[in-house]
Amino acid sequence: MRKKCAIAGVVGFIILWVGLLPAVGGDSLYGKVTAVKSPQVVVLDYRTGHYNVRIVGIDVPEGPVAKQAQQFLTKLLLGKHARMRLEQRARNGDMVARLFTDDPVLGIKDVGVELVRNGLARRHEKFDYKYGELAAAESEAKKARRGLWATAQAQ
Amino acid sequence: MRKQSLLAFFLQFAVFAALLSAAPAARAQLTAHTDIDLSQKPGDDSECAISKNPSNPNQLFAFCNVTSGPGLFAARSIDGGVTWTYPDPADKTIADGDPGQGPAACCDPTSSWDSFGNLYLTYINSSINAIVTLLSTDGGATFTPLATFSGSVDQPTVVAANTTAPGAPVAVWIVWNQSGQMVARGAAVTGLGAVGAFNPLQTIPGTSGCSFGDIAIAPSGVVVQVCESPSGGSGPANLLVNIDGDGLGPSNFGAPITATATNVGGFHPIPPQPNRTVDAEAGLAFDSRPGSPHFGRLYLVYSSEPSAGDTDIQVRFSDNNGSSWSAPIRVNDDPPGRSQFLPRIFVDPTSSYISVCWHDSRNSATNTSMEEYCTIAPPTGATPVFEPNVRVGDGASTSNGAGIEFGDYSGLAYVTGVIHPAWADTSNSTGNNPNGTANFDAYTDRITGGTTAPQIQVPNGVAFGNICLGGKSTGTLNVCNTGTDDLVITSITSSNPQFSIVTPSAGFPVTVSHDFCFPFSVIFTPTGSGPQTSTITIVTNDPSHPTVTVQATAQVGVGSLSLDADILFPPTVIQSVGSCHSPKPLVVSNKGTCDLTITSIAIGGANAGDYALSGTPGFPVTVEPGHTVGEGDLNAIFGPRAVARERTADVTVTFVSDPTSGTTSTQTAQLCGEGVRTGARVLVTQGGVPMPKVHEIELKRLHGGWFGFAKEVDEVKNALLQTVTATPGTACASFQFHREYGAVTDAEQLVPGVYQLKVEAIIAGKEVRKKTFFQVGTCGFDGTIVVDF
Repeated sequence: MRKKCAIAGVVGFIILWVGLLPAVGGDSLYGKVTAVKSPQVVVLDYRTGHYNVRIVGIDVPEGPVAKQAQQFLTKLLLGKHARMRLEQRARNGDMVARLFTDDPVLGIKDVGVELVRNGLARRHEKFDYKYGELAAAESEAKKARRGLWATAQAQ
Repeated sequence: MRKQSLLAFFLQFAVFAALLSAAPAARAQLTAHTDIDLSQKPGDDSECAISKNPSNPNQLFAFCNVTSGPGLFAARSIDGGVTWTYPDPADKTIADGDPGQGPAACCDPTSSWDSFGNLYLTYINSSINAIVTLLSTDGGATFTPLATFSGSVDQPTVVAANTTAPGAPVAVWIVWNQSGQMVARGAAVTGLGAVGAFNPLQTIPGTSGCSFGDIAIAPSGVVVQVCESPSGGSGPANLLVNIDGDGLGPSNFGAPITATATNVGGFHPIPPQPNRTVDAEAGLAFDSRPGSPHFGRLYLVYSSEPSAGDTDIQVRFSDNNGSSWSAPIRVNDDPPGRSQFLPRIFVDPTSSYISVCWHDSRNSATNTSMEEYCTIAPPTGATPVFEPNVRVGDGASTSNGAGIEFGDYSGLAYVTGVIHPAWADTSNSTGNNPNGTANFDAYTDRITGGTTAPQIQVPNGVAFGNICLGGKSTGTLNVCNTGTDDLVITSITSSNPQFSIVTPSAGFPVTVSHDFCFPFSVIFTPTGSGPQTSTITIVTNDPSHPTVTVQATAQVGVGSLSLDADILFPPTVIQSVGSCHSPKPLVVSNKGTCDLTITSIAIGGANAGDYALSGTPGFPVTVEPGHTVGEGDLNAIFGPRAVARERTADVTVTFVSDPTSGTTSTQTAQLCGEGVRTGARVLVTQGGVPMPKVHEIELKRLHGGWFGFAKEVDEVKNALLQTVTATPGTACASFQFHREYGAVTDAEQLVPGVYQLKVEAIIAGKEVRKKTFFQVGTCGFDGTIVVDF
């Protein structure tokens, strides 16, 4: 219970800082992902330093899906190059950002969108990118009953 | 001794006078106008690029990030930034998925305008996997895709500039970060809309981990880029410069040169922008004005931080394209302690004055709000000396703490002595931000400063297009002053008297203040047809171009009469027998490109009384191009008064051939018809060839109609072939026959009724015969009876 409250608090905090408007992205940073700390946070190394990058606009609830999400992130990003587009800095210093792969095989993918598309994360209500990419991905995941949406009761 | 003193005095005076004449005109302090809220829309608008057409200072374009929906905010001005409109007034954005407005955009707009009038708009696409560039050749009204470069990309900058490089009177370059390194591509531009292919991608050496760059093009075509390394962290960092010595040539950029270090790292929090953070925002600008004391000098602007929270704006310069740099010059003139950030630099190509604008928190006790500030420095002296800083923003803006705050950069254009900064503003000093002070709107201002000689610019000649002879047309000749001293127009003359310049009510000379255009009226009064041109000569006090010539052109059209060929009527029964007439269309049309006035259509000639016209309009009548007189109702009517082979007349059309003088001309067509009585004409042929002689032709009238009994009317043996030859020069026709009834050779009239014609011919020694029937009406004459064996 205490853990759930803490997570809810963090999520609310991030929503508060990011706001409810579409995200446009700004200065970005290119580096290598050296760790996947949680289903939403990775460590981006830019050679002379590193940042904790929290993927903006999504929420990964506790449970088996969170584990899958972290595995998904690990497979997608760990040891690979990525670009983060900063939206905001959280008070704990995390870079709240959109995160993109730069993979020779996969190409350039929005990691947040891919998590939501695979049912491994929800988008924050009232938050989306300029063209509704997160909503579209979530709709696709629901329709295909992926991950979080695998059962009819899932919301 | 006294004489020597006098001589010395005169020498000193002469030197002083020479110095005065060589020095730039006294400069004025910057003068700002009232701020303008460009966007006036919900949500946050920030990270604006702003560009000014160097060849038409009335044209500006602003291009910003938006958060309230798709696309990028876009606005344009055609009056030097006094008023602004939107290419897409419906949503004030382009690159938003609407057709014809470029691929959908994410962000990071940048723009540049070249001297041909090409406007380049570059941004990151909506999928954030490509740099897109659009081209506008009509001042930012419409756009066409120019180039798309794919990859893991960030922060593009597009710059276009004149060069002396062979084949590249203008070069356009785009620099951006791709997969962690700076890359660039450039293209030669040879005219409006004539942008060549971009050269292959150049990965700039030694820039791994370097970002947030800018690029500048030297007058020689050499290209210099700057970026910040490392791009991560709050600092310290270095600003790295790379030089591409052959510009658009095959060689790549050289190794990086450290222009300066700065404590403002790529993600550096400062009190006015603690969450979003700022970078050093390095910017480059060349002095590209030939004749400038520092022609070819390269300036670098950036943010430094001598002590925590106290960022300053610094400028360095290089006289060797960035190979080495001067000591820093602190631009902001406030006491230490407050933040200055997001600087932009621009060198006026018409005066070489250096303008720097930035966000400034000097008036914020908590160092958290900012006002826009600017300053300029003349291009004189060994080192730029910036004038006292001037607050140009009318209100203080505070970040709303969300979104991208003030953004990562601001915009600046400076041409013809007018500075146009563009920034994100929450002050609502204009009172028309729909979000009040809660969200950022894109703001700008017009700030005058810097001097230069008057400079004439005539964007275009005068093209009247198609004009009708006899008409008159008025065009506009814009004479602009792209300098900052007054342009005095002494005279404007035309080499062709058909083109005349309307003298303004106050007469010549006409004074045009800086950054404005005077619209002279040019009247074209054609006196001849076909292409017409005039050389218009403008004499002004522009020291570089005291006499400028432009062309005025027009294509003069006229109406053109087309009258059908001569008209041959069918044999027609004479009036003494019956009221018989043969009408034929008379086609009088206008094949020209302008209206044609027809004053009369009349019949004359030997037998004019046999002819009449019907469907004639009232004269004079005006016929539009492609139309006919009477629109199909005009006919010539033949009603002969005597039996004769040729009853001739002519029809004459009189029209205005020269609308300017009213001179008329005529065209005539011949009319011909044969006067007959009721009857017929018979031609006998063998295999289609008239027979020289016919054994017998017998004509019987069938009393009681088609089924009555026959009564012989005529019988002739050994009928010879007869030939009637038309009189040359008439509309009459030649023909042949063997026997005719009711015509010249046999004036016996056939009474109306049904007739049986029997023809006997000797063919191959045998007598053969054929019968045929025909009917004669009250006005009937069948001249086409052919019996063929």
